[in-house]
Amino acid sequence: MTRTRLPLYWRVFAVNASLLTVIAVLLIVSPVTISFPIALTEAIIVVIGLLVTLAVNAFLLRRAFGPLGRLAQRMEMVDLLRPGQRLRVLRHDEVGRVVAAFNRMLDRLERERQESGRRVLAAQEAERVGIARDLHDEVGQVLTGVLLQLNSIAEAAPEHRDDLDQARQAVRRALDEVRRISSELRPEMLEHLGLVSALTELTTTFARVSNVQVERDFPASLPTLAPEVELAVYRIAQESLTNVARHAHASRVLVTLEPGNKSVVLRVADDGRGFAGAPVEHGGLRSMRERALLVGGALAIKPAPEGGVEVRLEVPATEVVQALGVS
Amino acid sequence: MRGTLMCAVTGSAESDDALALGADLSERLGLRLVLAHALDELDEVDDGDYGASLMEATRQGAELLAQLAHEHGVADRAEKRVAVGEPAALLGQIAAEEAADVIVVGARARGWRKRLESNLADQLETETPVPVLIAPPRRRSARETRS
Repeated sequence: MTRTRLPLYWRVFAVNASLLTVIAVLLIVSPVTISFPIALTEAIIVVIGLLVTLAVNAFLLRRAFGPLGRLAQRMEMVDLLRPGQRLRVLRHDEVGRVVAAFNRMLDRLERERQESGRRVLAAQEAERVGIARDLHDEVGQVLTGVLLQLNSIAEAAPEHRDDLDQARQAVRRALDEVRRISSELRPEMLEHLGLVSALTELTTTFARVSNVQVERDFPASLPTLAPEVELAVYRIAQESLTNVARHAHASRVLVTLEPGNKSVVLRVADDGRGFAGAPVEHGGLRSMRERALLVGGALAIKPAPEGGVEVRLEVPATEVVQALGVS
Repeated sequence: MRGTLMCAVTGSAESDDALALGADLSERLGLRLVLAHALDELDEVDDGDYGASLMEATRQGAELLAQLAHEHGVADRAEKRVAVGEPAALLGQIAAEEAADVIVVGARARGWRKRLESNLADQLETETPVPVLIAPPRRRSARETRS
């Protein structure tokens, strides 16, 4: 419900004019006189009158300018990664118009941020696919060639067999690493076999590499997710597990998927050392939040019941994504 | 799970009404229940150590939530969130993070001094697009009301 009011200029003028009028009327109709030099009682009356005038003036001006203060506070706090913050437009004066314009500006900024974020992530994914292909096709082929050459040399020079065996083992380890990095960069399992299989592979590899025990709980069926939403879930799970390995000092991590309210919920909870207060969000955590936002998801990073950290991501199922216009 | 209901918990009698309603509704409708406690900015910082004061305040907030969850019989199913800062902004933020479908808050506190304080439900209206449900005050004794 909006109220039509006088413009701000006239309201401030009216406040001051009213006060001055009241003072003038009081001076005219009251028996107060001010002598020179001023008497103590007269000085007291003047000071009291002044204080009352200032208090009333401050109260009325505060009412007039209060919304501007709230607007300034909101401007300082606004975070485009947490959309939906708006101010109520309570009146049709200059302040109301500024608030409405600010709300429209937030609409536009959130839309533009979403568009640019989507383009950046698409470019990032394309670059990852390119690097993964180069690693697999170029570096992998070269290493395979080196391995074959080492085999030939080992047959031709049996006296160096021990040294060559060590070299071959090193090349095989390098090949495994190239395949692992390539798979992390381009989750082919996600494309071909879906989210549950991709997360199963991811958590299996994570458990092997990090020595952290992984418990999985994936249901037999889940609501359908759009490909870009599946990718966001996969990447956020990947980043969460990376954080567990790097920072959590955890011995166990639980990864679950469950159907929600026309949505799918991912949980990654560890039993590590957790964080004090609230986590400082930069780099990886900001990137996770951005990915969640771009697919209309909700991401919470909070203390886990086991004492570590829990990442909870809820993403909309396909029909909801389409309704939101996420492409 | 059919959705998420978030209860704003302040420790006041009015927020207790919200928790009672939230616990009841979430059970009847099969909703996930999240209890959120937002502490206002820290007034006192121990020996200038903001981090330690923050941890202590967070610990006390978590204890309050655990105690209230136990009193309302939802200790085993309620998820708990504690945050320090501007309450309405933080509650809006938690509601977004938890994909809350509705936020339950207590009614405006009684008493002339409390009436002067800004209403949490009004503040939340500008912080979040999530609908806010105001729990009606339950009947309580005059002594309880005064405290």
